[in-house]
Amino acid sequence: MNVIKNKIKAKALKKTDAVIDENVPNYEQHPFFVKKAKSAKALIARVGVPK
Amino acid sequence: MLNLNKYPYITNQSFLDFEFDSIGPKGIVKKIARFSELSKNIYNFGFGDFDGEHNCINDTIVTNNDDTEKVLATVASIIHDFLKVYPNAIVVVEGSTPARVRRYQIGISKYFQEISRVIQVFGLKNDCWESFKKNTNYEAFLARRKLDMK
Repeated sequence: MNVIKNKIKAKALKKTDAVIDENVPNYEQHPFFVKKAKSAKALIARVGVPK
Repeated sequence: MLNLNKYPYITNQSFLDFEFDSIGPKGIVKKIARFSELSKNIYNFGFGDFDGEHNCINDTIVTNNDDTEKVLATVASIIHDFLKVYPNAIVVVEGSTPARVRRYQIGISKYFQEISRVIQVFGLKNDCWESFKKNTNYEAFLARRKLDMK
């Protein structure tokens, strides 16, 4: 399943303007994004998403 | 691909973390953007200026690099690309300040014709999502891909 997902992703990547550069870090744990995600999570918990 | 005047941007294999440089009178300002997964297929889009010296990201300062339009176009393009790679994703965008929310609103309005061909945009008003309308003040924004997006 992951192989198929990766193939689909690779195909989609070719249609984007982004350049893949492995020097771009994973910012998941950066306090800025942790804080932003927390705020957005609270918002979605409160108002949900459109149908 | 949105046909906008934008900065080139780089990402890693996850396609969740993005970087680009704003270039103007203030020099080169590194911009960082990230899609943080909140729950299955729901992502928050966060974005700000990177201060390498203190490893800080700031989304409240005004960069004053005379390139607001180009930066907004780059952000729009990043979200557009993200929705190609994550076609089932819903992207939430909150502004850090009322002025920033207003700026996003102006940006979306400006490029709405192009954006709305491929992306559904919603605005949050009085705790309810509604289809984005120009000249309406919103508290947050949400984007998802239209089914026929190429």
